[in-house]
Amino acid sequence: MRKVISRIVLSVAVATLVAFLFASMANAAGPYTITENTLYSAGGYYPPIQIYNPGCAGNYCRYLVQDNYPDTWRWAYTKPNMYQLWVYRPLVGQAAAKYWWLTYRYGTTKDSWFVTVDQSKNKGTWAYLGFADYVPNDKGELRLSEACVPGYWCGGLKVYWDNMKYNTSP
Amino acid sequence: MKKRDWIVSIISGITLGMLFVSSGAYSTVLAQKQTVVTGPLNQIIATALNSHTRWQTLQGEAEVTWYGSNEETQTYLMNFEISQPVKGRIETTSKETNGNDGIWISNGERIYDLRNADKTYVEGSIPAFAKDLSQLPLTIMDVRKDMPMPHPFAMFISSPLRDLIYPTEFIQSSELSSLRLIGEETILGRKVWVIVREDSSTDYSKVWVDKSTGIFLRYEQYMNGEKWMDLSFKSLEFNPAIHPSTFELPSGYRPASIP
Repeated sequence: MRKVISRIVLSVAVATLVAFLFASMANAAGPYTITENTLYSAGGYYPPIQIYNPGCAGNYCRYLVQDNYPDTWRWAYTKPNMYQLWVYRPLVGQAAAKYWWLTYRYGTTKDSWFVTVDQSKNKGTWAYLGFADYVPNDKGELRLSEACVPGYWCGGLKVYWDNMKYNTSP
Repeated sequence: MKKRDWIVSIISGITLGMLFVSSGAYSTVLAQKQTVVTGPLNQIIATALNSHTRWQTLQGEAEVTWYGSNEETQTYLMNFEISQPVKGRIETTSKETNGNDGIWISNGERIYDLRNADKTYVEGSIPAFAKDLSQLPLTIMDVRKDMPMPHPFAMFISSPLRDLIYPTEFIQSSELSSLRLIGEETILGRKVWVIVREDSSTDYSKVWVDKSTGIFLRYEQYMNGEKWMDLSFKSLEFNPAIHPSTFELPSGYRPASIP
């Protein structure tokens, strides 16, 4: 009897472990994080300046002071099949900024849209930027400029580049 | 364990895992759920989360004032027309003529951001999910505070007006226990709840929630203990007829080389 019970207990333990591993693998499509440590020009001359601040994800952000002459910088490209996208609003944020999301398939632009995020609101949370219309895709990218947005305060505020994260369509 | 036990255990585990993932239980377990609130706040939150279901078209005028350092202010007037699900036009004019004026237009297929200063515009698509409201939480129990879900069309509205018209992200992003009902007033002839949201001792917001639709009629934001923004409707009409030409791209603007 004791042997039977130990067999059952062991079988349940193995089944639970396998179930957990399966669920984890099925959700292994992210989210992946891309930091602002490596930014690339996408029509920008002045690179965003790095600062240390505990209010930034990972304690570091980059910024440019807003104006009407945009310097556009992008995060590193994502893996293929980028699906949903978020960007972190650091606790030090104050300006409204326009993010530009693109995906590519066979080198051609597929998704291309703009999402305005007011970095002064809901600070310390991830701003949702939506999900791709075109999956599969080769890669995706997120761009940001320090240009003023009509209707929001313009001039002298810092526009922050902080972590972005995304998942891929499984 | 015998070989048969191993096979049965592994197959059972895989079956359980598939059930766990397909039922959505995996992400539910990982999700950070909101604090449960009771009383009148519950009704206010539910009304705001569902506000987009209570009107079809909206037209009016709003004003926002931003308060900078050294008592400097910037004020913008916004004339707007919105037609759900994904059409809209907002014309923004700076009172100080600071050059940060523009027109935002969504014609249902494309979105145009026009800058009056240099008569240029940038153009973007409207993704399919902008019309998909299935992921939008309609009750407090659906809200995930770690990943607030904005109204999918509001994300593309390039104007502070969206915080009044689509208040769902404001509600979701707050710690619900930080919301306090402080009174009731009347604005533009409409009865409103006045609630305060405290993000910290120095950062907080005060909003006036329309009782019948959940739309915010006024929104004040304070940062570092100082007033940062005061946004309110000056006039507001629910469900007016809007002429289709309202959402057409006006002539005289050219595409910008770099957004």
